[in-house]
Amino acid sequence: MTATPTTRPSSSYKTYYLEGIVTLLSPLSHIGENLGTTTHFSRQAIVGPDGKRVECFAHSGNGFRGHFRDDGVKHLLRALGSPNLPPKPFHLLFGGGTMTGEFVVDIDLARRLREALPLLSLFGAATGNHIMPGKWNTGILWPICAETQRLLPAYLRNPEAPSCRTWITELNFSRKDDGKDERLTRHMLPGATGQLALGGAEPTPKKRGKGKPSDDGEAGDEPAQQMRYTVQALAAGGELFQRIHVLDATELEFGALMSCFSEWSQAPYLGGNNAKGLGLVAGEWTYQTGEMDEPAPLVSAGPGEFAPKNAGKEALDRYDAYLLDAYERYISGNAPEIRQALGVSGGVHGTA
Amino acid sequence: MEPLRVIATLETGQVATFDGNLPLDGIIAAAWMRRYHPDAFWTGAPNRMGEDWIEPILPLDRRVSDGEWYWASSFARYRQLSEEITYWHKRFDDDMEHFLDLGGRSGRMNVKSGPFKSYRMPLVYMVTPELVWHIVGDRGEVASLLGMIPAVGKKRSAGYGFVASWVVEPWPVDLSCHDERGRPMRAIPTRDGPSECGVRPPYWHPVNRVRCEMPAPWGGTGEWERQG
Repeated sequence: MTATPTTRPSSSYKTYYLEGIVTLLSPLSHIGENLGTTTHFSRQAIVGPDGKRVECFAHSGNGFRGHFRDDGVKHLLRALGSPNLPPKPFHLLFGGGTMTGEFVVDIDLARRLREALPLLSLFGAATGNHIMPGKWNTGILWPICAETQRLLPAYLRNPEAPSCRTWITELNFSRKDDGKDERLTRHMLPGATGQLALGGAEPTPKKRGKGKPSDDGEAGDEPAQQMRYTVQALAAGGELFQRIHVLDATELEFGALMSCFSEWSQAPYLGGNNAKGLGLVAGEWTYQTGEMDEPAPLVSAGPGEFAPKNAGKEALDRYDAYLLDAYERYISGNAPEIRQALGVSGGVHGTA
Repeated sequence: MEPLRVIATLETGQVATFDGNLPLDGIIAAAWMRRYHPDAFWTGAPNRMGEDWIEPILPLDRRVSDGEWYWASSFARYRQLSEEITYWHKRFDDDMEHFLDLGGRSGRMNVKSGPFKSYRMPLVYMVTPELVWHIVGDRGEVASLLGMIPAVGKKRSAGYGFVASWVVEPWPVDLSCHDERGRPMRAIPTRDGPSECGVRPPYWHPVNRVRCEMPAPWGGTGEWERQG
């Protein structure tokens, strides 16, 4: 007797199985380890197509989840009129909170948080010494390549696929010390060097040689702060595959996940060095529940594109309507559960 | 109830576990709670046994040893290809400071200690194509509950332990608690046992911890070798 993990629980909750294909529109950097001035792409060991251990480049599920948590919270807070949060509720929403040991397990609190904030219920959080588990498993993003043939669905398998090692490109960057550029030094304060502290700090006196201050304001003999460094990246045009499980979600919780896609599509980046243009991607995800015979499109997201479909669109509409209602109750003072969860009224998490 | 063998084929072969035990009754109990008491499952187990404590009724045989009961369900057996270490990170989201209200106090957050500490945490995972268990139970019910389980082990939320398929098949002998040579296949409650361990789900909960005789951590022979 065999069973694939698609059976739904016999309750009002639904379990969704998502599969996504992400296309790299620019090189993707995701640092694993540094060797000298070279940062290597993160890699993980898996079982290869021949049943032996093989290493493969991978973008972590934890990193993807972090992106989506931030995006979901931004969507939530904007819908509530962008309130400013005390540090603990801020960290609870954006970072998942912290085990502090201040409280015993508070089941009522967990229940109230799940009901008031579907997004928090989806991602989970730690409050006091209570861990409220999240409801979604964020899969690692794997290159569609020779090493990952065993984990790919049948429709993506290709015995001729190249090794992920052929996707790796090395990008070289230079950081120049503008303080040593004679064309720019005229803009520096006389006698100043190094980085000035913000907030009106006095400039640091220049030093000559072994810590001796310079009295003429001319450049000292300290070495220039410049370097050339290398970043390993997956080449643009490559494709990554990802699985996601959303377990026992209400429609509002599934809508909260869709809100993350919505917000993320406004700046659809993965990995690091985004400021240099790295990590721009576009993706398409499908979904399947225990009631469906085959997967259906869920969402397309990329630069300038966000297209929720089927259950994804319905859930997002429902979630946004819930947030609109919550906002109206919130500003009229009739949403104590949300105020408490956000700590705005000095509730359970607030430091105020 | 009949002796059964259960095989989980893993998608990537990665399973994060600190002790390698992965008791199947714990996995089945999670599915049972999700099916019959989802609200209680997702809000968490209470501190102590009381009126709100729910004891799962699993489709497994119950055994008793030295006054403690447990389910007829082995710990996982597998052929480990390698043990790996990776890191996960958590940091204070200072880039979202426009949503932060410090209430007029210092603008500096301490991220080296305290509640907002940044973490770089090691995560040990092993690589193995499949996990194997032996149980005595109801085949149809066990398969139905395992169909609700898409991932096993730690850090499932970050993509580890994803399961491609479950196989539940009859097995000629009962190896759920002891192997053919009488060695433990799971934690067996023993009054003067050398270790303290959970004996029934939830395994992590202090109320379920008793002195036990344990399977050899990386021992065994033949099919039951944990390490290839």
